[in-house]
Amino acid sequence: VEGSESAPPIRGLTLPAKPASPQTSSPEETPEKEPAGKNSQEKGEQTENIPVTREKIEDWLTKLRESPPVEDESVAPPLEPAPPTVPKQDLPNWVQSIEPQDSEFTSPGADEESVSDANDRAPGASSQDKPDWLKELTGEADLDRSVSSTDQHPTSDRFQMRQEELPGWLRVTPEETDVSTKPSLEGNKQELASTSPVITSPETETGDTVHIEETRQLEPEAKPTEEPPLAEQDMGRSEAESEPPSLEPARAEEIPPWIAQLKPTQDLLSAPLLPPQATEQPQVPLEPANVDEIPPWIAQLEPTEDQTSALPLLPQAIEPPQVPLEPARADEIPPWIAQLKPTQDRPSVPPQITQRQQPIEPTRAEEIPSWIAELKPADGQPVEQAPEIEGEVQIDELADWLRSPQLGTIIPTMPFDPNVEAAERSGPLANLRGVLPLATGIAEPHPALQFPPIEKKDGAHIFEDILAETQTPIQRSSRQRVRQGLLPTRLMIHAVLGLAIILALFIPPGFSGILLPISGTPAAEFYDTIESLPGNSTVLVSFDYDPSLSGEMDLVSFAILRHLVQRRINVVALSTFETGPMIARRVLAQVTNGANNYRYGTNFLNAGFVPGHESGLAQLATVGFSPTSLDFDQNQLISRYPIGANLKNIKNVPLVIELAGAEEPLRSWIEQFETRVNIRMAVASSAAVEPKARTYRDANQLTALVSGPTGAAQYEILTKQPGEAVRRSLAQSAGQIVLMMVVIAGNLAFWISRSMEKPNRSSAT
Amino acid sequence: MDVLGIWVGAILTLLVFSYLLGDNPLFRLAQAIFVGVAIGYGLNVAVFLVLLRRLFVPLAEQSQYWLVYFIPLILGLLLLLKSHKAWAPLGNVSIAFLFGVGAALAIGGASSGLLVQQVSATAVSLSPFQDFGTFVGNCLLVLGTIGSLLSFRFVTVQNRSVGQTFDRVVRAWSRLGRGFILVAFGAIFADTAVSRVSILISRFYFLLHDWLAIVR
Repeated sequence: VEGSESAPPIRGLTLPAKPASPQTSSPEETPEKEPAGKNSQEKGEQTENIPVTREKIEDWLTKLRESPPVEDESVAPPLEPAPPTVPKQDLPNWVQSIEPQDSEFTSPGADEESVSDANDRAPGASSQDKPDWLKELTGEADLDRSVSSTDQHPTSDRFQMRQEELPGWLRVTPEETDVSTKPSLEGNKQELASTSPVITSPETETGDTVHIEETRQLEPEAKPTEEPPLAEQDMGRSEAESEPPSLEPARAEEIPPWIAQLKPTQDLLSAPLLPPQATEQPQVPLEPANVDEIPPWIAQLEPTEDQTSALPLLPQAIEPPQVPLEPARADEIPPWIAQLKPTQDRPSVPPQITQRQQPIEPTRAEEIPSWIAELKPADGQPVEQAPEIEGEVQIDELADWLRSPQLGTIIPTMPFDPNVEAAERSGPLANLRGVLPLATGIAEPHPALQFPPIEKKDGAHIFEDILAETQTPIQRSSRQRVRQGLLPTRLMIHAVLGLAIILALFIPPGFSGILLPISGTPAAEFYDTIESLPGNSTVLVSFDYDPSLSGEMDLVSFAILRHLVQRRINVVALSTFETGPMIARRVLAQVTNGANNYRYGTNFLNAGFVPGHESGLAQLATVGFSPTSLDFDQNQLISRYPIGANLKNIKNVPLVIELAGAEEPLRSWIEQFETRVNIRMAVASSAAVEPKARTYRDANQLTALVSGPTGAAQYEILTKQPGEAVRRSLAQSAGQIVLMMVVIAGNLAFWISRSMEKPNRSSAT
Repeated sequence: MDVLGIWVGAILTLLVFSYLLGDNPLFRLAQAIFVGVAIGYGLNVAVFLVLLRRLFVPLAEQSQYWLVYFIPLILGLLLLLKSHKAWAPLGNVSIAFLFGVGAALAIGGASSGLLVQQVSATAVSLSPFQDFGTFVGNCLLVLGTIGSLLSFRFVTVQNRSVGQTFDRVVRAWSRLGRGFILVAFGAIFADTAVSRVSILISRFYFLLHDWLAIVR
């Protein structure tokens, strides 16, 4: 409880959501159309130095004790006769000063009844019947404070604090208060009319309206000070029915937390009475409430004549029924009110009085909310002092957490509804909403802070958000610069390579192939393999390359097939590539063109495509051509051709020539065919496949190997049929020389540039 | 017809050569034409040379072997069900058949046709009493093969003098094997360059000989 008292009264953070008090709109606290702040201030100033005699309080309490309880609440009790008017000169000075000095503040009851009547209306109350807390109030204790605590008006107790107990910034003179409040009332009327919600209250007889905003502005002061009188009133009622000791003030631990939090804090109590802008309200007419429509619980709250006489600010239109103040039954008292009753062992001093006596302690670190603690400057970080304003609150008098200049700049960003409360305009709490007054936070349910909803996202949504983000293009200036720098170099290399090849192609064929070695080459080995074949034998030639490699592979294919046709060896072409049969058709057509007695189906055959890759080759090795296999060119059964008779047993084939443009078909032939049947196998591959095919040749898995354009040229020379391969050999050599020069020049440039960068790096470091 | 084919080939060749100046729509046009022709031709081969010739025609004409062709037909149809999510499990039978046959062929062919043959090929004689060239070649073959295998060794021997000595020898040998590997990579790169230069020459020769006929 103590901790909550010192906590900052920020709305929505420290105050619980308490239902609106019915006293907010009750006619008891509904002031007149005049600004409540002014009234309360004036009253507070008037009651500030008024001595209250002990006899006056005793009489008032005695009268309260003698009032009989109401037996039936539904039946309106008879009105008590008005007490005799006490001569004014008999009244104490502070009561005389309460009387309205201006016609605007006079209420109907105020003219006829005085405050002294309220005190005198408690006849018979002796000092021994009073509870301890009242005795202490009427004793040597601070009478000013006791009067203010028992005052029905909620705002009067604020100004009953001794001037010496108040901090310097609260010691305002009445003149300063008038100056500070009146202009603001007139100046901010429109602003509050648009921002303050209005609750209608009974209209006064004069047609003036009373707005709930006034009561709201009074509530910060009224709420803490109302509860003790209410408890006191209940206690007075219960005294008629039960023993006074049973009505004990609630202990601190017995008070519910939400009520304990309603206690005014030191800052609140020491704050100015009303914010200037909060004293204006829109002029909304109020309709008088019908007495019959008033619920019983409100009727019980209506003051008696004694009480109304003690309220000089009671509006004229509100004429409470003359029902004697009846003490409430013990069972009718809500438990939370019963807990507020003073106890014997504890002084029945209202809590707000004790709070005022307590020195203002700096807020402890654990009491500060985390979001405020984060605003505190770090240790060692210089705190920027806010400029002092003359006549305003001194910064040194504030708590540490309020001294942070960041508080006033950060908190306004919170999404408070501006229509609910106005913001502070000056002081260290400038631009803060909901700090003062406290009444709004107590009387109304606190609107929840409108924070944007935090959407839970899983990994997929986060990834979608990342993808949805606008992607800033990466600056590729350096890469473009490099590319632009390399473009002339590339074009130069391409141009040199192209010129070298084109010029070599113009050299007469007689000069080509002169320098090519023939003897002991793989081509010669391959040539010898073909030469070793018996005449009229049948060989399988697999065209396993696609058109993209035909520019290279056609050279060796033409050379080998010419040799085979020259030797009158039967050729059965097939392919594991889809495009192979078409290449085979073209090559065979050119090779057999002009060959005498070398016919299709008899001397050569295009068996077509062998699907399945490895499985197809495995089937070919084990089964051979199926009886249903059709040739590619004429779509006839292979078995019907004369050459097909030689293929009934695949093992009768003396040689398989693989024209491999890639490694995969070569490996398939080696693994699936060559290992299954003991058939010699020769490979004519492209230059790129040669290093891998060489391993098979070195392992004696291949009988012969010829590769590349050089091997094709050698083979043409060996067959004494120089063709395109020989004519292109010079161009091939020229192209390779250019590539070698480019590679060497590139490496030299790299080494030179790196050697030049090293001294630069060493000098830079 | 041959002249038209030569002109089409020449124009497409020039479109491909335009890539030397950078990526451009002409190159992309030629690329799209080649891809489209290849896919069309492959589909034609699959339909006419495989499905019709090897499945449906024999199934219709050779009724006595209908079961031999019916089973592949069912497996092929089940494989088509893989495109539908609900019926995809039915296609697992075909997939299992393909994977099983493919794995068996690959493992058997690699072990018997490649691994055993290649290992046995390295078992050469290192006797000096033979041809000097053969002797040197065999020595290089053994050193290179073992060094290449040692270059993929990632363990060391510690705290033993003999072990450290062995480790130094093995480390030096692995460096030698790494050198052999680099030489093999260089040879592959050089042969690839030779192959691509040969293809380039064929295109120049086509343009100068077949299209322009300025080179004989």
